[in-house]
Amino acid sequence: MLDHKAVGIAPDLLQHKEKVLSFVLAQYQRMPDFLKLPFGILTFCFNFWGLVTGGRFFIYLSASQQKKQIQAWQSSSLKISRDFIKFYESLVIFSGCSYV
Amino acid sequence: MSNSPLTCQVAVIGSGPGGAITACLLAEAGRDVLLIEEGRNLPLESCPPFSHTELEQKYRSGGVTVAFGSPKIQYVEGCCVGGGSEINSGLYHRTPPDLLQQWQRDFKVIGLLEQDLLPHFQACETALSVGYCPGELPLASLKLHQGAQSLGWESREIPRWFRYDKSPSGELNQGTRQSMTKTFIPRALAAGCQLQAQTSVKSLHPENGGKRWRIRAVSQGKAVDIMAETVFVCCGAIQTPALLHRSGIKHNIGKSLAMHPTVKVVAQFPEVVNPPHVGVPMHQVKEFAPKISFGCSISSFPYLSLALSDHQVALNHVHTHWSQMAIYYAMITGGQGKITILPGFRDPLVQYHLTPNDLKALATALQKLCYLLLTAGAEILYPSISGSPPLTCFDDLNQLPQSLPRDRSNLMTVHLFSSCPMGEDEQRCATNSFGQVYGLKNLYIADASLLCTAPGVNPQGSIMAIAHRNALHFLGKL
Repeated sequence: MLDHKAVGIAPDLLQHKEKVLSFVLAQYQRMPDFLKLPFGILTFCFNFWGLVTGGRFFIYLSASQQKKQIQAWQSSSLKISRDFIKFYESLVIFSGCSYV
Repeated sequence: MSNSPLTCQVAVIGSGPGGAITACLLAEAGRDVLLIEEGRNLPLESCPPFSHTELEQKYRSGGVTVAFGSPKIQYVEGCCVGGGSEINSGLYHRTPPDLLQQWQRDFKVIGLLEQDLLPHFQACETALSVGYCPGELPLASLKLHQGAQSLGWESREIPRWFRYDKSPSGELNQGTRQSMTKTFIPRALAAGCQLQAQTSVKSLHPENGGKRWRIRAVSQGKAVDIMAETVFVCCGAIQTPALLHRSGIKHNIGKSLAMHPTVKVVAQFPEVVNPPHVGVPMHQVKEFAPKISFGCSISSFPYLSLALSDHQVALNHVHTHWSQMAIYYAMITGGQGKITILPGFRDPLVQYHLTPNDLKALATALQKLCYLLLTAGAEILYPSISGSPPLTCFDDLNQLPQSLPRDRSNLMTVHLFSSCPMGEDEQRCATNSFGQVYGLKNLYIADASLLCTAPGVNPQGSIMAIAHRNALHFLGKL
């Protein structure tokens, strides 16, 4: 999810990709315990959705396919899908921009 | 104090403004005080203010906390020694006098009018060096003030708990926030108070016919029991009712949570208004207070990028222009929420309900704020409503909704209170007028939970003064 072509973030803002990834994972661990399980399941579903629509788990899709899936979930009529993308997007933007 | 289990005369749970002041005054009066804090004991300077490191070090759940409802409201709580005082803006207000009268009338609070609180305000203001910024104010702050002045609206600089020291060349520095770790906690420790950080209290149990409390806690992975004759719960408006619920104490606890729901707007100006390291600007517009207030938020590049992520503004554009941008907010005093413990989970569920009238009030507040910012010379405004077009002229204000849409509004708050209101009306209140929990003589609350309703201003001044008053009352010094 951290490929700049996939999330539309300028490459220079994501030069600290590993730090951003570690921040996102740490924030997931810190979130209230009753939210962790639903978010974990949603993250699994998101990854699995790539298999359904693109023949591979999301993490193995090409950047353009990943972008397409993110946009599909972002504009979904299901609020839970939009919130899911918004959550990860917020963490990536906030931490990515913090290292610039 | 002895070992296994720890014993003390007074246990103060939570080291934010309410807990730190209580622990300090009780220790200075010679009481054997143990101050228990769930978060880490870190100096104020352990991380840059409003940084992602601060989120990691000092915020509960890394700042990933939300009140469920339609719309959801994101909120934050401090979780470190010093609590919220370590992470907030440092803006100071006394409790509005008419609000104290309202609390007296509606909640039957006694001894809490303006003249009663005055010595406590003064004591806290002296301890925290509350005052106005001695230097030039940031332009982002002045823009809000100028816009308000042009419209004839009341606007003023808000004092802060900052201390300004002179360099050897005689110049004043940018100021140091006088948080609890800079003020009351060192005083408490000097008076003999013991601090136990990274200790999470699970529940309270009365023993010996209610004459003392067994505090069940976990300290760095190990179960710890602490015995205390008196307990002050000072964990804030969410965690205090959560702890009391876990302990089976529920009378009027956690059912009346209030907050200041806040909607934001990013304004881009033609000139630089937001130089690096400026902190939170100091002006607030009080023309429509207490129902509606306007102010400025932290506007660093990461926060601006986050605020603009809904508007498809390219991050490169934000990166290039962020010093011309600032985040402003409009806040109201509406809505009500509750705190619930979910079986099997540690963290409490927070729910908050906004009525259609609250959403109309937020929309009105947003419209007025946008009008002010355009008057102040803003070129583009980005309201925090998903899918809302940028506003560039007064005619564009007609595009703003008459009521904030429940599914597209991004609301947040940093002010939470009123979950255990104080007063003599036992049908409505959780504690008496001095924070003593009804039915339990040696259990007290001393934090934002006690405020009867939303104050409409930054609440830390009220929390500190009430904690100061209640601690002196406990000591028999009032």
